Amino acid sequence: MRRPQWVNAAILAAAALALALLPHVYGNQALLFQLMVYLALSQGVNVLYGFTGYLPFGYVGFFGIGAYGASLAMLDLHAAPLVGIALGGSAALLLGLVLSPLLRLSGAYFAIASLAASQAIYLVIANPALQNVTYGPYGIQLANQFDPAASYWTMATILFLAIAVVLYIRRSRFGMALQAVRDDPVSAAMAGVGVVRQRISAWMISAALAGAVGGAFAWQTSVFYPDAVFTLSISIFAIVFALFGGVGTLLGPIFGTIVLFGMYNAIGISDPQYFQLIYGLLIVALVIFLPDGVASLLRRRGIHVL
Amino acid sequence: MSSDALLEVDGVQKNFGGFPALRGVSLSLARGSALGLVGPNGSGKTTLLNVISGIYAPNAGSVRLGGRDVTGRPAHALSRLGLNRTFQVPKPFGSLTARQNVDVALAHSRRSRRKAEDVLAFVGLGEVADREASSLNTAQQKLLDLARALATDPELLLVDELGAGLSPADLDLVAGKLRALNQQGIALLVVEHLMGFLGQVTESVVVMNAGQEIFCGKLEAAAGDPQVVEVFLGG
Repeated sequence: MRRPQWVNAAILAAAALALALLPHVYGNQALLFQLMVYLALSQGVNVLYGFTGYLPFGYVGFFGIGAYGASLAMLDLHAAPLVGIALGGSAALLLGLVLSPLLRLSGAYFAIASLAASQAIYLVIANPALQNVTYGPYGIQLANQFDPAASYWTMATILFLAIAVVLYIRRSRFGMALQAVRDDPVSAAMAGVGVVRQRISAWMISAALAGAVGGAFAWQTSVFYPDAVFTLSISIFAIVFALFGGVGTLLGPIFGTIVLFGMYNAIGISDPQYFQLIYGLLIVALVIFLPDGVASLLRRRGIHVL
Repeated sequence: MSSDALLEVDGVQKNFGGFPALRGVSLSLARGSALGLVGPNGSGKTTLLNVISGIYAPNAGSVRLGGRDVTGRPAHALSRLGLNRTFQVPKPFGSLTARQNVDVALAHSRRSRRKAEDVLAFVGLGEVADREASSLNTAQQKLLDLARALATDPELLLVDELGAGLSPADLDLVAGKLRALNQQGIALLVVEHLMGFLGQVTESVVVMNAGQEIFCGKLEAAAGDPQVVEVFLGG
């Protein structure tokens, strides 16, 4: 797990280069943007699930609160988009703090409780009675803020930072403690690791990331209804992409997102019925045959996956 | 209780639902001493270790460590106060190497000045330091539990059936290690079914049955105690 520093530097350089070149080799910027959104969200799931074993079905709650935090900051405080995104990330961080007692629950209970929390937030935001505050069910319109190029580079920067954070976690003392907690929380506590505190740290990092991504998404989209940023399918996509590739690695979720999101766009939009069938079968097969993702196939052959 | 007591357990009760696993257990352990804890399966030995090490909070009673009341303190806080343990069923960090297992404990212990190499060499895992813990056999994983506990530089080590599953040769080796640790000043509380193994580590035992202490004294005297004989041989 400890790799020389230059390997990490090389990965970050490659990521920066890929993000810089992508818009020049592929013209569909809206699609690229969505791909980056899911690349970042699947890394957020990776931080939480891959390093602590907690599966956050309510992950979309952070994305949605980030989108709303950023939008309301731009609309009501006339904040610049970048400031708005920072505030969106902070709103998600705050929400993470408020919800941190959920981490005292064990696995399945946590998954359900986080899902319920995200839907509760959605219902509050979409409530017509709060129209003066949240714009209610009529959604957000960011007038005169639309800037596809600037929002693309902002999202690329957030994704780059997400990759850097995962690389840091994988080689740091903090990351080793997180893996210890995931492998055996009792032993980890006995080794002196503050189990709850470590889980909360991972949860907050993961929340802030999703919030910033939500903020960038709001800026890029400019017009959206509350259900667009709180739909459960955002959580499901991020989780399935991360699990398919293999959590606990950097490249697993990236591979999973590129393959499955690519597949979704190749067949999902033109023939949604086939896509859902294929997707459903894929998830079943994944759970039965490959619970640790594609990365585990390589690991079984002794190949180290970054 | 004497002032040089490192561990004082007083009237500890622990219920699981309606089942009283511990019904008021008291024992005391002096600094640097060693005490065996024996009893039939289900008598509450491991539950007692779990209460002492902060994994369970007791329903009643108190645990004092070095004179300080630590009842209900979480395990990681007790680890930093110099209390550690091994587990009956070993609990390694499976996805980390043996060395990283020890590194986690070194990094989170405020006390330790030890080195991972030294600790692993001491328990005899120097050769497999870079293997993933999940690939080690059960005996090696138990020794890894011991190494991780030692990395926190404990004053008190709770040892839960370290002998079970070891070969006769390894048993003597591990008993020797425990004796050496005790001679270095680490107090030991040793849960064990193998009396030959226990006898190599300590002469004093507490015998438990059905959540209560029924005997406290020398190991050889326990064999002649009518109540102990009845519990073990079924009268």
